[in-house]
Amino acid sequence: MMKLFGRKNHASHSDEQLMELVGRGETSAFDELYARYSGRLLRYYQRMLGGDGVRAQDLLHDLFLKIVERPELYSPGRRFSTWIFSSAHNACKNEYRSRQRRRPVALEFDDLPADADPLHERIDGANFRTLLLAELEEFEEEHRTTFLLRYQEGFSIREIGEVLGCPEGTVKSRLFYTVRRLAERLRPFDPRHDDTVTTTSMQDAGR
Amino acid sequence: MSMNMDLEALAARYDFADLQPDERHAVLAELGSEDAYDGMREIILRSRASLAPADDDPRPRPDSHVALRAALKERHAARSSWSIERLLTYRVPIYQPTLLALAAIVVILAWRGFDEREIAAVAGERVVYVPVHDTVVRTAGYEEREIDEELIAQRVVDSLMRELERRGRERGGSVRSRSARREPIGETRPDFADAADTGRGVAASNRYVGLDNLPRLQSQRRGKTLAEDSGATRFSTPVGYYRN
Repeated sequence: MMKLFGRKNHASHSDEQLMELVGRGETSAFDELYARYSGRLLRYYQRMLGGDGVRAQDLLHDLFLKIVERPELYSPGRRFSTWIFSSAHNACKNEYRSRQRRRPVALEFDDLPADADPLHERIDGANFRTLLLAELEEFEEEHRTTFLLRYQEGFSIREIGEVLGCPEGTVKSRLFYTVRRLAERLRPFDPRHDDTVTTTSMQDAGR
Repeated sequence: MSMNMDLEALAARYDFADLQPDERHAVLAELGSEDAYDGMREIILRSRASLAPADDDPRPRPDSHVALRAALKERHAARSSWSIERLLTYRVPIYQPTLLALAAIVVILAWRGFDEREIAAVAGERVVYVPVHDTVVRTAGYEEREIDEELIAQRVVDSLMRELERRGRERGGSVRSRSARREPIGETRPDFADAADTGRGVAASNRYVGLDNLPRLQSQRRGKTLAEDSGATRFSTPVGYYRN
């Protein structure tokens, strides 16, 4: 009942309309915007920062605090989703610069079911995601973020270009390079192959 | 570069077997084998599936959301409440008050210039010089009393001058009078008076001259005459004029 009578329903509003309302101080619009993007951004931060969940939470808070305190930074004519991911991308770049060294993802191979067979059935779901993210850590930041924006967030080539501030041709080139290289590095875990996979090779891939 | 785009897009959508002949040719030319193409396609499809939102994804801290909502409310409340302190400490770019001051100066100068031209034009058409009797006095006789006629007359005229000037100042300088100090006293002395009403002149030796005529003087200025005042004596020497 409180939700029916005490709060406005912004589900039909676009992101851009919500942002305008946030600029006027409407907390219910902010709640809707936060619900739409906080999870996506947290996932993006965490995967861009090598699984550093604590730092990802901090950056997420900082980003939404910027929206609260300086909503004028958002240009009304721009697509909100690309703007906010562009801000998140810039925050990641700043984070990389502030770090002295990168922190690789610690693969938890102990979590893999030991009795599952064959191996490719074990390299599935969350496990494949762990391997994939570990491999992505080996790529340059620009390639990693391009890949995540494309296959995690579902952005188009043009939208990724807007987020990263680069031509579409550059986006396509980065995607092709990243996918092809991932295919080569994760080939041992491709269920279409019968290659013998050892724990050592998996650990190598994780590094 | 264009081929790279096409391959990534093709791999995301089609199996190798579903490609057109020219597309197969392009794939083999670029990747070298069907297996490489299938590997790319596998990565794309599995990445989409494994990177999609899941139940075990990390969730934002609830306290963060609460703090952000509080910050938004606080900021909005601060913006909507105006106070003297906030007004005095309100920061604006320096060019804004500068432009405002310049605009105010321009407006004032333009207005003053316009106003003077307008007044000059109107005054040029409507200035009328109206002779004003230097004094209108009521006389009363005192027998066997020595009176310094000249002194009394001078005082009367001086008093009238001051009164006329004072009233003139009150009316925004619309009345000007000759100063008794600058003009020869003879010009305003009763010797020049037109004592037509009595035929004797006002400065009789045994008469006291009083200043009870100013309301009538003002009445004259408002268009009335002194003809009705039987006790008044008019001096004809103009000592001032009105400017309508």
